[in-house]
Amino acid sequence: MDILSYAFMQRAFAAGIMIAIICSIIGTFIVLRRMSMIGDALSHVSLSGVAAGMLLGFYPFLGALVMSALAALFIEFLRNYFKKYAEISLAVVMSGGIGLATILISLGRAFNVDIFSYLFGSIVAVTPADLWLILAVGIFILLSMIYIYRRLFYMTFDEDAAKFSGVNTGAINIFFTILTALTVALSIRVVGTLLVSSLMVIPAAVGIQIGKSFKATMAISIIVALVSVIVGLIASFIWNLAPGGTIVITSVLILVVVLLWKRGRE
Amino acid sequence: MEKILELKDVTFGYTSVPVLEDVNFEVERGDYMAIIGPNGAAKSTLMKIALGELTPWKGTVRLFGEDIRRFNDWGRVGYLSQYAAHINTAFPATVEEIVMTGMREWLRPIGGGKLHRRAENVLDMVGMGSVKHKLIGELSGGQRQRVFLARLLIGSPEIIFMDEPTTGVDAIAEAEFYELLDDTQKVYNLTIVMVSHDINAILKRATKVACVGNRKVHVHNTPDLTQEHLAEVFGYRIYDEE
Repeated sequence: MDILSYAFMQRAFAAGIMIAIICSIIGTFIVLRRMSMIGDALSHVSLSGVAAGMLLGFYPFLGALVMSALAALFIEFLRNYFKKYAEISLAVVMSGGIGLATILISLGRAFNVDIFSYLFGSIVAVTPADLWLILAVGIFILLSMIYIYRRLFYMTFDEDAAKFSGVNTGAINIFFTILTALTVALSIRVVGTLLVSSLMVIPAAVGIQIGKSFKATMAISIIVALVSVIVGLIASFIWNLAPGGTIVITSVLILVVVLLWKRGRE
Repeated sequence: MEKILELKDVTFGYTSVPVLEDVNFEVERGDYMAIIGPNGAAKSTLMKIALGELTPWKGTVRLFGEDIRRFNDWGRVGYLSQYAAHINTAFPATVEEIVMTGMREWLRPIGGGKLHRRAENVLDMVGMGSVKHKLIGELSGGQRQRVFLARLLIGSPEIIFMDEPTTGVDAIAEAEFYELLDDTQKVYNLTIVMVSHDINAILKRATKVACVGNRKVHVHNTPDLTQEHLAEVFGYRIYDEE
């Protein structure tokens, strides 16, 4: 495998595989909770964290993580005011995030090329420091998801019943939103802010189409995300394209093939 | 008899106008209480107060002798709402996966592989053992409601609250559901509190009837309930089909 003889590609694959796993696990819950837009809202805010880091001279990736987590808390805060209109809180945070990012980017002017890599992802951009951050936070997210998995499943299907069974739904909601925020921020290095949401939503969409149980749905979602990331990274390397685009287009192709196959069977 | 649920001088309203005033009643172990009344008579509100989801302006609610605000032994309580009508039918989970969530032991992060046997037993009990690997969305409304009953029973509750559990279910499945509930009440020695719009079916079974109307709640032992009592609550007479 020539492609793996490059250190930057090794890092891109390691980071990409971790991102595929956490994005698809979190994404399946997000889609079933009817919150597909949350990835977009959080990624736009994390872009403002990147821009702030570049402007003020701190690690942009860290800026993304912090801003995204703060945005998650803000979404939960707003949700209490718009109980029956969950999408309002997402729209507000998304517009606020992109507004802030625009101001910070125009203040800085000189860093257009770097911003480009955060918008569409980059395989050469994953530094060793980025990789360690992605792996460390990724493992934290995975362990946390194992910890809340069953209760989150119960809540996602039937929040009222979960509450009456003594599940602390309020705390788990907030914790899950923070995990989502961290996942989004971690993913922007490889997939880019504009496309991270699709890596969460499309594999879950495939899983829901063909899964014959919740476990199967989750497994299919993870496999689709892994295949998309690996094929997308290879295509990105060969044709010198932004990986965000190749990864997402691969997953869209898988979805289309699955839908056609399903239709053919019926 | 042991008092399981006790409401004392409870008054509650959503705005400045009370919808329930000076409500007093008790549910004892083994009771089958029907909560009946016209639409908008605060039947569901009464149930939410009993479950501590709404806090009354004044008065006290005690569940298993404990003030509802401090009560946290929810394993002894089951709640079934109008699920069949409201569930997300596209949810990709099997009948068995959903029933498992009713066990507190299973909700721990890991372990619980041995609990599948218990799920099987309860599903057999409600007659749904043969569909345990089917997706919940593939079942009819009546079948789904049996699955939700199984999820409730698997947690071994002592009292179950039901809010119009047969909404969205056809007449035959509704009759079967009531019969199934009769059987399970005996097997599990349950105490039942149920809001129901099906007066005839519920009056055949309930031991006590709480008539909710005009902000008041009047509780009668079922044999003492007269047509006049019903007419007072509903504003018109209700005749038994038989």
